[in-house]
Amino acid sequence: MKTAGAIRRARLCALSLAILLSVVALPVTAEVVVVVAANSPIKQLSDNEIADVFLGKLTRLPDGTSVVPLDQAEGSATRAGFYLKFTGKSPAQLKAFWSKAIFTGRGRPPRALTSDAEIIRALHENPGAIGYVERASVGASARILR
Amino acid sequence: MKTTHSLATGLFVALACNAVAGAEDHSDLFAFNAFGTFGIAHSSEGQADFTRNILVPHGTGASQKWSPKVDSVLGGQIAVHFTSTLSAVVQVVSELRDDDSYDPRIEWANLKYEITPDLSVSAGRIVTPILLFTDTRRISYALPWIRPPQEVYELYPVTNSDGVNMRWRTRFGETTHTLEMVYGRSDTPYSRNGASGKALARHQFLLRTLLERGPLSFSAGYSPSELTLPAFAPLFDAFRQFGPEGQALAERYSADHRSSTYLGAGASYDPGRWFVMAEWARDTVKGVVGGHWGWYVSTGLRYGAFTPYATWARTRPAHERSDPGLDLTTLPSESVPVATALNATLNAALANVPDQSTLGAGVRWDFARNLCLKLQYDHIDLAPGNAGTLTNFQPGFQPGGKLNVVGLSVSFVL
Repeated sequence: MKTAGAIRRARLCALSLAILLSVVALPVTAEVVVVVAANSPIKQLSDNEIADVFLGKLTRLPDGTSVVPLDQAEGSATRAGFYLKFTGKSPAQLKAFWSKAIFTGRGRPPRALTSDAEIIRALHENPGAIGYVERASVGASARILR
Repeated sequence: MKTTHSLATGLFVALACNAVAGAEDHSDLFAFNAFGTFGIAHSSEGQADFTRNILVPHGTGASQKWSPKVDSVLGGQIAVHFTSTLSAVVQVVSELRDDDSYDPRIEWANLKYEITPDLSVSAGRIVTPILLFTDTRRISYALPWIRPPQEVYELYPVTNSDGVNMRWRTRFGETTHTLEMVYGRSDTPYSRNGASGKALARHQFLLRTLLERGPLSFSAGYSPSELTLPAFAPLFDAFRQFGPEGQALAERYSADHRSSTYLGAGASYDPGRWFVMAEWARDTVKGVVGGHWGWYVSTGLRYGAFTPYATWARTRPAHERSDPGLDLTTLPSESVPVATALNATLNAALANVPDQSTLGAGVRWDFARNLCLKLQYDHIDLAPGNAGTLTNFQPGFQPGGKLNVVGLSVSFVL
């Protein structure tokens, strides 16, 4: 019985640790790349420009091309990794940023799609579309910007 | 307690809806969003109240030891996107009001037309942005603190205006510049220490410029308007009964269509792992209301889900003000008691400008998606003889002391 108790305690301990880690640690992500359609007029963007496109501050490039960002779903590791890299913002900070915009009528977050495949497909519907996916998902139809 | 109960019920319903709402899809005609905070606050000053803002009569301290009135708020918003360029929005907010109720109020309701993605015009009840957080002060989830520093934010308690707004965004290299202009009017009800009324702002003009480059933001705002506080009219009507001297005093201090100017400037640097920000504000109101200075600096560090922060804030009157008032020596003896009372009322009003500083520290914990918990401690130092932003004074209240305010809150957005 003692052993069973110890196992239970160890399980409880592991569970609490897992909960704690899930709250504190950032998700481990595969390499995230920024993509456009292979035939997109968007040739290059700086890190800051990419951040501004996804934060709704940059909607038109200097050459006149309209850029339309495509997001991954809220809660996805790809999304968390992308925003941390390009904007320095955690999911909570990003939520706070968009809350300010939504509740003051200054903007709405980008349209969110649920998978890499959907994003790659959507790139072809709009020449100005820009998304981010895992490197492994990029085929011949998409071009890696960054 | 009934109002607190209904607020709590509303919060629960809003949280229960979390699973079905909040996700915004651009193909939707309607978008529903909500925000809220349930907080309790305690003040060490038992003879006066520390309040949510300078418009409400009660808070924590004299009226309640631990009060939900200071930080609790619930807001809901429906936006309708008729076309990609035409939209309408209504935001309803329930928070403590001047009449001590939580009755919902339309915070804004307007139609917006986007001439280009970078140029839009709105008409209706619109937000009045002037400082970095003026228009988002109720959305605690979007703030580093439980509430913005009162020393700066209570200089300008108005958050909406009935009128028109233009927003124009331009870009220079990697710098985004947003220019906003508002023209409108607002009626703001208040109730403090038994005196209640409305602050009427007319020909309210606002110009705000915001520069953003990566983690750096700089904001400057300027807002002139014509301010009337009808509650002061009886006082100055009484002064006018005292011949040319009384009429001159009434002209000088009247609160009727007086020029009011508000200036604010702020900067923030937020690369993600930490932040620092500072804001400065100045208001100048002709007549009895007077003017203030206010400023604050705040910084915080982000450790995973925890963000400890610290703030120092200060406000002081732009001028020390008092007036000898009516000359009692030239008055017939039967008029002296009335004149003495009028002089005392005028001087009490002139001196009624907050002079205080706050040193605060707290921690934010993002414990679940779209939810955060904050614990904040503020040490408030009132200038000698000054009651600061406190109200609901009890007979034993001594102005000019020190007090501590502790707040604990849970906030959400969806």
